[in-house]
Amino acid sequence: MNPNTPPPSDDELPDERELAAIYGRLPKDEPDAGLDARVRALAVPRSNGRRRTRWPIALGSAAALVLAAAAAWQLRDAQAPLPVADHEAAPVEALRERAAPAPSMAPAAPAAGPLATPAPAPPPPPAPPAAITAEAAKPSAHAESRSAAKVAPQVMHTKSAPSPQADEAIAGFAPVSELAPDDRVGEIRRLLGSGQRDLALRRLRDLRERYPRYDLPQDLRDLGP
Amino acid sequence: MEARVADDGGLMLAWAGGSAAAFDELYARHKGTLYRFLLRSVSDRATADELFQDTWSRVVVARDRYRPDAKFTTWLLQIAHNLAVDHFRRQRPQAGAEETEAVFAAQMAPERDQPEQALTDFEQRRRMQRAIESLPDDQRATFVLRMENDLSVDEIAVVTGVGRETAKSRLRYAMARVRDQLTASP
Repeated sequence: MNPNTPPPSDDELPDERELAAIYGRLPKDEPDAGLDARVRALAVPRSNGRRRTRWPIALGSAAALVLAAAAAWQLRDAQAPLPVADHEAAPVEALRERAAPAPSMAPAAPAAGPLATPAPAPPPPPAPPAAITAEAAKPSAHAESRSAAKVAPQVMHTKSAPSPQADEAIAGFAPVSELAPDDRVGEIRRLLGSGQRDLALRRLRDLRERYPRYDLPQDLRDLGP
Repeated sequence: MEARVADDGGLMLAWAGGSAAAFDELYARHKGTLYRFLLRSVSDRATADELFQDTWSRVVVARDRYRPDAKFTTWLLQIAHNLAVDHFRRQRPQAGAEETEAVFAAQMAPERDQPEQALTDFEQRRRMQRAIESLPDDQRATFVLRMENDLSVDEIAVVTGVGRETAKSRLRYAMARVRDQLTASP
């Protein structure tokens, strides 16, 4: 207590200042350095403990980032060669020129990989592998239809009508979509011969969408615009 | 002291939030007064060291529960006082109020009539030290809290866990006894 500072008035007791003055001259004992160190050590471990708990989190986060980056890199490496391995560069370029896709389409093509790339026009490929599913075919047709600006209205009509898609699934239309143009012409003529005119017309429409530069035989050109 | 105490709560919160520097500041502020309170309460350096460390250990454990609405000094001294009381209970039975009053009455009466003597500074300090040591535990704690830690009667009551009037009464008795020891003939 500072003897020069009076205590609160309501607490002041007789002779308190004199006693405080003498008390103030008592030795100012302090904890020694060893005790100081022990007390400070009490406070430190908690901080270190927090650091210890933070380090694994930081390391774990960094490791997770590295793993994610590595996985993404691996996936990228795994996907990138596929289009090159399965398709020759020339047909791909030809398709791009023919389709004149919007800029946003460019990244989509490699991402879709083998599923999005239709069978190249020349030369006709062998019969489509049975493993190709209808799901695989849909993105292909969709990509082609989006790229064919001239037949966009027709494409919209085709895609917006749900019942033909159901018919195609029933009639096994998907494998036919992988045929070459000449084979498609033969298939259309066969359908006309068997009386399936509606289905023949749809396939003719599909042939025109996929191969707009293909020179149709006169008998098929006479079927419609 | 008062100006600094106002920031003790903030230092506690900062320390609980991980600031080692906040603890260093808090410790530097209070280590001296806390240590002297304990040393003069138990009159034994080894015990004072032990209780001092125990007090800070309790503070460390309870720091996350500290709320700034409680004055840090009061809280700290309350912990220390409780540890000292526990120590006294382990060492010997607490002197009862009646015994305290009997000893107090027996020693005060003849000394009141003693003429004041001019004492050397050394002698005054020695008598003060002895007078403090001779006080009953509760009066000694009250007296030291007042002299060393500059607490009000209300704060002493909070620290020692008694009512205000009890705290004030203890302080009166302690001061009278110390004064009489100081003026007693050698």
